[in-house]
Amino acid sequence: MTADAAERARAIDPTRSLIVQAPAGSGKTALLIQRFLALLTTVEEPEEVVALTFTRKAAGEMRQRLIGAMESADGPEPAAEHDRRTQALARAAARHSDERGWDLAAYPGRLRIQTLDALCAGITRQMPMLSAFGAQPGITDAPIELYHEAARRLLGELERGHEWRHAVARLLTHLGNDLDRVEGLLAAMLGRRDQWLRLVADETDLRLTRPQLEAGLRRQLCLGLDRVVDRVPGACVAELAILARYAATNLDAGGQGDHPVAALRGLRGLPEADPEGLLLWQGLCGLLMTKDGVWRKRVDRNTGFVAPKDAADPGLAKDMKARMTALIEELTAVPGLGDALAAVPALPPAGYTDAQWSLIEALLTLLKLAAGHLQLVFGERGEVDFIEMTLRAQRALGSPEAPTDLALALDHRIRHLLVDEFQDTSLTQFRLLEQLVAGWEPDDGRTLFLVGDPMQSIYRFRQAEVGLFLQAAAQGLGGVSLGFCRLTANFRSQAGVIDWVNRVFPDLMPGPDEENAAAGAVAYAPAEPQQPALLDDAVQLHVFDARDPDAEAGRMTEIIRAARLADSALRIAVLVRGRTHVARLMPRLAAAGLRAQAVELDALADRPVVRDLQALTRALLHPADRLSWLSVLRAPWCGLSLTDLLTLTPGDDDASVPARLLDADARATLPPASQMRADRVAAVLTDALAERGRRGLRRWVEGTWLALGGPAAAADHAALDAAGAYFDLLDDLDEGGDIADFARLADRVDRLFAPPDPAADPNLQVMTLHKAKGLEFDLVLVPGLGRRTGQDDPALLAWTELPGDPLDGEGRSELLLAPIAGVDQRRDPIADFLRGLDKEKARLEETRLLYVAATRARQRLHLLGHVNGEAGKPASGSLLARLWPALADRVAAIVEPGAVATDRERAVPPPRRLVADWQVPDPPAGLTVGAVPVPDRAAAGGVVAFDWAGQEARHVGTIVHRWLQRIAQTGLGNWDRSRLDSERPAMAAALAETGIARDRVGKLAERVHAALAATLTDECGRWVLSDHDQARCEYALSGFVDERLVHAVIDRCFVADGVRWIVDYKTGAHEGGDTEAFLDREQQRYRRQLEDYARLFAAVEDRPIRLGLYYPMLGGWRAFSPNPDAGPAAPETAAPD
Amino acid sequence: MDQKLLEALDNGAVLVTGNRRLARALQDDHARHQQAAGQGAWATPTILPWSAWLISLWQGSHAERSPRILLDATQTRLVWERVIRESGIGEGLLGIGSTAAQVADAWQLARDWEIEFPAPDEPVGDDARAFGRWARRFEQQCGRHGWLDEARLPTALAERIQRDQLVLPITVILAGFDELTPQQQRLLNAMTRAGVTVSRHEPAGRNQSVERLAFADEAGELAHAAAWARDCLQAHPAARIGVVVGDLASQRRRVMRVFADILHPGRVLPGQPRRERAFNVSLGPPLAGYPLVRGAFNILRLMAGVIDCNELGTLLRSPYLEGGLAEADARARLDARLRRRGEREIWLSDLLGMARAQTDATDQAVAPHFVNLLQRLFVHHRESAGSQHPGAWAARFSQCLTAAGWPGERPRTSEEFQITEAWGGLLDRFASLDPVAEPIAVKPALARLQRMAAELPFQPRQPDRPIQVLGPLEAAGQTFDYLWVVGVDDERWPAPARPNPWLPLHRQRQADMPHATPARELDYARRQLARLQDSATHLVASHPARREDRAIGPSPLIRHWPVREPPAHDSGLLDFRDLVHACQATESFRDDRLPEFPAGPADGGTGMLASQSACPFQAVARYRLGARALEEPRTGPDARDRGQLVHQALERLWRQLGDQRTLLSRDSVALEGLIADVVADAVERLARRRPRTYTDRLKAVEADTLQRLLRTWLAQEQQRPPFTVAAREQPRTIELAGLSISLRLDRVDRLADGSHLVIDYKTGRIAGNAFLDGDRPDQPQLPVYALVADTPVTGVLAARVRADDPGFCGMVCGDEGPAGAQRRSAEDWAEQLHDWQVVLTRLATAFREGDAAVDPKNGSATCRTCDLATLCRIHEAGTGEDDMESAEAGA
Ligand code: SF4
Repeated sequence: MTADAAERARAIDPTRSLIVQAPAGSGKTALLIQRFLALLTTVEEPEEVVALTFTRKAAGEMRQRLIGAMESADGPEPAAEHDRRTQALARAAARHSDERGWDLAAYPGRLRIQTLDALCAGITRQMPMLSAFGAQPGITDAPIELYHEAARRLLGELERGHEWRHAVARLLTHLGNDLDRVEGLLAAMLGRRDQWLRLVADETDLRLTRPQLEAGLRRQLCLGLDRVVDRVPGACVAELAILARYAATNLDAGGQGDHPVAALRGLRGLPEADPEGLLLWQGLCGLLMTKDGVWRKRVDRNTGFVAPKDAADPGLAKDMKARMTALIEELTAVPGLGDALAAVPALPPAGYTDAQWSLIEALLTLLKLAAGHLQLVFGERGEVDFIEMTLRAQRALGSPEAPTDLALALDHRIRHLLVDEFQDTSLTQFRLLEQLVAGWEPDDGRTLFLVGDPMQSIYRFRQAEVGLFLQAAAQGLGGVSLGFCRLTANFRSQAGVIDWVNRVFPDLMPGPDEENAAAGAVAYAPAEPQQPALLDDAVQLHVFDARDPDAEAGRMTEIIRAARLADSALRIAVLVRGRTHVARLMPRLAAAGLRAQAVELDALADRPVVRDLQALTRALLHPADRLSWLSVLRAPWCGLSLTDLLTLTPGDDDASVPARLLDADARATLPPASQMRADRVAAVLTDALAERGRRGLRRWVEGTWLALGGPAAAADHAALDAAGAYFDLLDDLDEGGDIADFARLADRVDRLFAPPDPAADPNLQVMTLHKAKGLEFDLVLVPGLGRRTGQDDPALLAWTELPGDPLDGEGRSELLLAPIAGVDQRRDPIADFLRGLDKEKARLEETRLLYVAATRARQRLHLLGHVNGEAGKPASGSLLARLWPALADRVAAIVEPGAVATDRERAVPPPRRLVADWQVPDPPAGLTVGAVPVPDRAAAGGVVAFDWAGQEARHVGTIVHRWLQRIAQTGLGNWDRSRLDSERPAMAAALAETGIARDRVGKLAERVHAALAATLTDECGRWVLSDHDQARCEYALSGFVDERLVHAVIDRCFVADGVRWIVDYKTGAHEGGDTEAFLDREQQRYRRQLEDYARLFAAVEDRPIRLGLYYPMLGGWRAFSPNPDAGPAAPETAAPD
Repeated sequence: MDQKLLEALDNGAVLVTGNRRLARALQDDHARHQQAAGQGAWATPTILPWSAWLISLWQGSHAERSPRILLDATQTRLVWERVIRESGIGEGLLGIGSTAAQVADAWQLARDWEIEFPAPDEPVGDDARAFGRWARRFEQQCGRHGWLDEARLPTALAERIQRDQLVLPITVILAGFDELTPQQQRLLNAMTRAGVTVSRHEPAGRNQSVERLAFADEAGELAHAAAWARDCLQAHPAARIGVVVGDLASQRRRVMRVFADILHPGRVLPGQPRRERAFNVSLGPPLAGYPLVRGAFNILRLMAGVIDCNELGTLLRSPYLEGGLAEADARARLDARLRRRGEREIWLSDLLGMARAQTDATDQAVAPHFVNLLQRLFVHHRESAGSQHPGAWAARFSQCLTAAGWPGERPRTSEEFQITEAWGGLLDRFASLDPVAEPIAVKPALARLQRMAAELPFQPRQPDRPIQVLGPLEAAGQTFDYLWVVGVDDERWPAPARPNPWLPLHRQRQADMPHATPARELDYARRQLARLQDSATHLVASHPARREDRAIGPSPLIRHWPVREPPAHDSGLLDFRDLVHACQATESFRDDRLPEFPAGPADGGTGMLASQSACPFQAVARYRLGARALEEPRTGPDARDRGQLVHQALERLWRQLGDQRTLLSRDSVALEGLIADVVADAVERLARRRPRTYTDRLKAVEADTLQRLLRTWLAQEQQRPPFTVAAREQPRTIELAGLSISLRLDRVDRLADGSHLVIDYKTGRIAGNAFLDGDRPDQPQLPVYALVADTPVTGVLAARVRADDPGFCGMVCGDEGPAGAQRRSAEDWAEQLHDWQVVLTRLATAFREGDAAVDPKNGSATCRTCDLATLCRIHEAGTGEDDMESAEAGA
C-alpha cells in the first residue's frame, strides 16, 4: 500500500474529470491503462474512449500493454496488488466487449490510442469541407523547404503592383537587403505560425493596436519598477534620498552633470514607478549597483562620493561614504531587492518609436501574406506540415460560439479523453483540447483526464507551455472542471537516487509559493521511494578542471565497461543534451567493444563514406562539377594522388575532368600504377555514364559504387550502413534519375543520422535527454553538463503573451511584440526585454531537464562535466552551474584534471586507397530465368523521332473501323448512301466520345461519312465487305509465333476461292504526291505484322493465304502473299496503329 | 483454369474479372493451356476486366436516338473540378484537383452502393451537404451536355438492355470479385432477365498449408520474402509464386530493389546487359517520374518562357534532347556558368544569348545543337501566348518536343520506347479533354498535363513472370502455388474503419458499405484473408515486430496459425555489398606534396596566400588543381556582391572627394547627392550582370541600404585625423619566393606627415586585431599591401564597412591613425615589416614547393569556411566536430 493509494483509486474513477500530477517513476502509464479499461466498460463503442499520447511510439507501447492486459484477463491471478487491480478491470472490460459484440480480441485497432497529430489528421480527413482541405493532403517530411518557398514568394511580392511591396521593401531595408537572411527569418516564423496566425489574422483583436501594445509595455515597465518599490524597506528611503542628492550634487560640481546619478539631484523619496520616473530609477541603479548588476562594494568618486582627502569637507565626505556603504550593505540583505533592481536597466521603454511601429505594421502585413503564400505552396505540393493539420482541425471543430456538430461529422463521438504528458502541451494543442470538450456539461457522463508532470516539461522548443498545466489544474480546461490528484510514490528508482533528488532539487526549482504559470515556474514536488536504497553511492559526479570531451568519453567508457562486466543484463543509457555531444563517445565505445544503440544521434554528413558518395553522386550527375570529380578520383576506390590529378587535368578551369579521364591518351600520361587505377575507374564510369537516366538515381549511384569497390574501401560495417542510409536518401530525392537542387541534397545529408545498428546491444543506449522522457534505465550517465546552452536565434518578430491586466476584466492575455533589431542597430531594447523573459523560461526548463535526466536512473546516476580551469567554476548557463550551489560543499573533492586536447592535435592520417590491381569480385549467382536479352526495339528500328500525329486521324480511323464492321456484319446489301446519311448523328456521337473537340466533331463525322461512302462505291471495298465464306470482322486470334505469344485482332478475314484472305484497314490519309509509292511503302511497313497474322492462321488451317491492306480514305488496295522465310517478325508490341 | 471454364470460353462465354491484372493472368493461363494442348493458334477468348467490358458493351450498342457521350475518367475529373470550383463553396479548398478526384471516387461509391444524396433539409454534416450540391450540379451538367460518366454506366446499360439496344453475350462468367455492389448486381440481374447466363468462377479451395512468421523489422521481412520466393522458384521451376504487399504503391521502389538485389545480385553493376527479371511488381510508378518524361516537361517549361535555374540544369544534363550526348560537356559548362551568374530564374531569351556567346577559340558556338534547338523553341514560345484548347496544346507540345530532338539520339531501350508511346497516350488523353475543357494558357496547360502524368501509373509491358509481387486487391482471383503476404499485423489486418467523408454516415451504415463500420471492416479483412488462403496452395503470412518506432504484433486473424521459425539472419541473404567489402585490400599513401610550381606569375593573387596560410592543402587544391565547387543560385545580393558594391562605391566616392578636408567641407545635401550617385552607379554595374535578379525595385532597396551604409561609414572617416586619399584600387605586383603575385590596393591614404596608411575594405566580420599576427596570418593581403605600397607606410588597416560595427582595425606606427588599431613604436613597426616579409616569403615558398599538407590553421573552425573537405579527406581523422553548443534536441 503506497501513501498515495487513495489518490490512485480516485484517478481511475470513470465518472470524474481529473488532472493528475504524476512525477517520474510514479507508474503513470499503468494508471492510464487502468483508467482506459475502466472507461471501456462505460461506453457503447470502444472508439468513444480516446487516449492521446505524445509520440507514436508511446501510443504503440500503450496499445500493446492494453492488448496484453485484455489478453491476460483470463490468466492466473498476478501477485502484485496493482496488477490484480488491472486484471479485474480488464476482465470487466472484456466482459463488456463480449456483451456488446465489439470483438476487440480480433480487432485491437478499435482501441483509439493516438497522438494529437493523428487525431487532427483524423478530424480533417473526416471533415474535408469544414477543415477546408478538401482531399486530405500528405504530411511533408521537410516542412522547412516549404516555408522557404513561401518566404521566397513573399519576397517576390516586391515586384508586384500591390501596396504590400512597400512592406517588403521596408523589411529588406531594415535588414540590409539581405534576402537570404530575411527568407530564413520568415521561414522560421512560418514554422511557428500556430502561435501568431490566429492573432494576426483576427482583424477584430484590438490587442495588436499600438495603444494596446504600448500599454502592455508600460505595464511591464511599471511592474518591474513596482517590484523594486515593494522591496525597498521604508526605513531606508529617506537615507537613500539624502545620499543620492549628495552624490548628484558632487557630480554636478565635478562637471559630470550628465552622469545618470546626477539626475537624482532633486530626489525626495522613491521615484514614481512609471515611465516618467525611469530616468531616476536608472540613476538609483547606477548609484547602488555596478553595470553588471551587483551591489557596489566600493563607493567612490565615480558615483559622486569624493574621497575625503579630496573633499572640501573631508568629515562630511567620510561620513557620507560610510553611510552609503552601510546603506548598500543593508539593502543587500533585503531578499529579492538585488534581482529586482538589477532588472531595471533591462526594462523596456514604454512605447515604440515611430520607426519601430511602422516596421511592426509592415511585419504584421507580411506575416499574414507569408501565411497565405504558404497555403498556396501547400496546395501545389499537396503536402502540409503538422501545424497545418492542427490548425485545420481547429477550424473544422468550429468556434467556441458555434462548435461543429461532431455527431454528424465524426463516426464516433468522443466521450472520454485521456491526455498523457500534458505538461508538454502547446497553446495550440491546449486550444484544440478546449474545442474537443466544447459543450460538455458537468455530469453528462463525459470525462477528461489529463496526466503529466510539470517538473518534466522539457519541450519548449516545440512550443510546450508548462504554465498550461498549472492553469488547467487551477481553472480546468474549456468548460470542464478538473479534480486534482498528486501521485508521490516512485516505483522506479532506488531510495539512494530519490533521496539525492529530493535533497538537491528543491533548491534548484522554484518553491511552492513561487509557482507562476506565465513564467513557466513550477515548484518541486518531493517523491517517496518505494525501492530500498542500494549500498554504495547512488549519484556520482565526475567534474574535470577543463573542457575535455575525450576525458568524459573515456570515463564513461570505463564506467560502462565495468558495469557490463558486473552485470551483462544491466540497462545502461548515456543521455546527452545535443547530438554533437556524442561525437567522441561513439568511437570510444566501439573501440571498447561496446556497440551502443544510438537513435537519430550519430550524424553521417561528415563520415568519409558519405562524403565520397555525395561526390560520386554529383560527379555522375554533373560533368562540370570539377571539385566532385577530383574528389572521386582521389577517393579510396581510385586513389589518384594530387600529382596524378595535376597530370591528368592540367589546371585549366574549363576543361572537364571526365573528358580527360575517359580519354585513354590522357590516362596514358600517368605513371603505370596510377594509369592502372585510372583505367579501372574509367571503365566503370564509362559504363555508368552511358546509363544516365536508365536507372533510378539510387541504383545508378549504388551500382557504380559497388563496381568501383566502394564497399571494399569502407572502413567497417558502420560505414556500409551509413552508405545504406545515404542511398535511402537518394531514393527520396530522386527526380527522374537526377537531382535538380544540389543544395537540397546537402541539406538532407546534414540531417542524416546513422540507422539503428541491428547488432547493437539493446541494453546500451545513447540518446538525447528529450528522447529519454518516459524511459528508465538501471545506470544513467549524463555527460557534458559543463557546456553552455545554445541561444535561440532572434525571431523576426518576438512575441510573448502574458496574463493580462487583472483590471482588464475580460481576462484576456496581453501581448508584447518586438521587431528584430535592424542591421544598423546593435540591439532593440524591447526585443531584448522579451528575450530576457524567454531566457528565464529557458533557465527554468534547463533545471527540469536535469530533473528528467536524474530520474531516469533506477540504480545509479553518473553526472559528468567540467569547470573552467582558472575560475574553478562551471560556465554560467551550463547545467552544472545550476547544480553547483547544491554541490558547493563537495567541490574540492570532485574536480579532477583532464588532459586538454584541441582538435589541432588530432593528426590527419595519410589517405587510404585500394591497391592498384584491385578487382571487383563476381556477384553471387542470381536466378537466370529468361536469360535472353529483352529485344531492343531501337536496335531493330533505329532511332525514331517522336511523332504524335494528333488524335483526330486516329479517332476517325477508329470510327471508320467500327462502321466497316457494322456494314460487314449487317450485310453489305443493307447499306446505301441514304442509310449512311441517317447514321451521321451516331457517327458524330461516337466521335465526340473519343474526345474530339466539340467544334470539330461535325467536320470529322463528315470525313468518316465520306470514307464509308467511298468504300461503298469502291469495287475493292465492296468485295472486302461482301459476304464471303468464313467471314469475320475484328477477329481476335491468339497463338505463338516464334515462341512469342501474339494476340492479334484482324480487321477482316474470309475465304474466297479457297484462299484465306487477311485484310487490315488502314485509315491513314496521304496528301498529294505519288499514291502508288505511298502504298508501296505502306506495304513494306505492315508486311511483318500481317505475316504474323498469317502464321497464326497457318497454325489452325491449311490454306493458301493472301494478305490485304485496304485504304478506305484513298480507295487504295494492296494484296500480297506472305513471305515464307520472313525472319522473325517484330514483337507484338511493335504494331503501330 | 479448369476444363469447364475452358469449354465455356471456347463456346464464346465472356469472362469478366474484378481487376485488370486478373484478366491478363487468365488470358496467359488460357494460352498456356492451349499451348499444352498443342494448339498453335486459337480464337482469343473474351476476358475483360469489369470496366473495360462495360465500355465495350456500350460502344457495341446502338441507340441512334439522342446518343449520349460516355466520358472517361480524365474527362469526368475535369467536369468535377469545374463543378467544385464554380460552386462557391469549393474555392477555398487547399487542393481542388485532388478534391475532385476524391469526390469523383465518392460519387462512384455512391452510385455503386446506390446511396441517395441527402434531402436539403436532412441533418447531415457540411461535407455530405457539399457533396450533395456538387453531385446534383454534376448531374445537371451531364444532362445538359448529354454526357454519361462511367460511374453510372451500369445503370445506363441496364436501361439499354430493357430497351433491347444492347448486343449481349450468351454467357457471362465472373471471376475475382470479392463482392458485388448493388449497382453491379442490378446490371447482372437485367442481363439474367434478358436471358444471359451469369455464373461465377472461383478458384477451388486449394490450400494445403498456412504458416506465420515474425521479423524484427520491415526490411528484414521483405528481404526474407524475396529469398523465400527465390528458393521456391529454384526448387519448383514451374511454380507460380506470389508476394502480397499491402501498401505496394508506397513501397514499390523498395520492393523492386530488394527483390532485384536478392534475385539478381549482379545486375546493379553498370554496364550489365539488360535481361528479363524473374519477378515483376504489379504497380508502376507515375509516368511523370520517368527521366524521359521529366525531360519532356523541362523542355516544355523552358518553351513556356522562364525556368528555374536548377531545373534548367537537369535539362542541360539530359540525354533526351538533341545533342544531349555530343554536347554534354559543353552544356554542363554552360550550366556552371549560369550558376556563377547566380540568377534563380532563367529566361529562354537570355539563355539563347548565353548559349550563342559560349564560343570556342574559333568563335564557333561550343554547343551549336543547343543553340539551334533553343532557337526553335523560341519560335514556339512566341506562338504560345494565348489560350487554347488542350488538343491544340497537345499538338504544340508535341511539335516542341520534336523541335528539341526529344527523345534524344541515344538508341532507345524497349522501356524507353514504351515510355514515348505512353507519352503519346498521355497527350491523347489530354487532347481528349477538348469536349469538356475551356481554353487555357500555356502554363496552366502544362501544369494540368504534369498532374495527369503524376497520376498515371506506368509500367513497361513484361511477359508473365514466375514471381509476382502485387497488392491484396490485385491478387483477387489469381491462384498461386506459393504465396507470401507481408505486413499481416494488428495495425492493418484489420485496419481502422474509414467511412467515406463525403457521404452521409448513416447512409453508409445502412448500405453496409465497405469501411463504413468496424464490424464491416473486420468482415472485409477476414474475407480478404480467406480469399488469399483459398488461392494459394502454400500460404505464409508475416509481420514485422516494429514499424517506425512502434512495437506491433501479428494480426489477431492469424494468431492461431502455426508459427514458423524465421531462418537465421544471413542464410540465403548473401549480400553483394558484403562480398565486395570482404575484398579489402587497401594501402595508405603519402600525398602531401605536388611538384614544384614554376617561378613566375601565380594566379589567385593574395587569395592564394590567404589560403596557404589557412591550410596548405586548400591553396594547392584551389590554385593549382582548380578545385572549386559548383555554385548555387542565389536569391539576392550575397556577401561577394555586397563587397563589390562597397568597393566600387567607395572608389568612386573618393575619386570625387580626394581628401578628408573636402569631405568635411561638403554640406550634407551635397554629400547625400554624391553618395546617391556613386551608389546608383555601383548598383547599376552589378545589376548588369544579374539583370533578372536586380529589378528596379530591388535596385532601389539595395541602393537605399548601401546609402545608409556609406553614411554610417563616412561618419567614421570624418572623425579621423586629416588624410588625403593617395591611391584607389591600384594594381601592384609583389615578388615573393620567385612568384610574382598581382594584387590591387583598395586604398592608400597619405597623412599629414607624408606617411601612408594602407586600407583594405572589409564587409564581412572580423573579430579583434589578431588577423595580422603570427606565422599564418588570417589576412595576409594586408601585410602584402604594406610591403608594396609607396613608402613610407605607417600602418595597415582593415576598414569594417558594416552597418552594425563600423570602424577600423589593424596596426599603425605611432599615435596617428584611427581608433581601433594597435599602435606600434617606430622600431617595432620596422621589425613588424620585416617579420611580414619573412612570413609572406615563407608562405609563398611553401606554395611554390608544392606543400599540400592537410593542416587547417584553426582546426574545424578553418574547415567550416572551406568546401574541400571531401577532397582533402580531413574527416578520416574522425567525425570531428564536437564543439557546437546546442540546445537542439530531437524527439
Ligand atoms: S577542409 Fe580543412 S583541411 Fe581540408 S582543405 Fe579545407 S581547410 Fe584544409
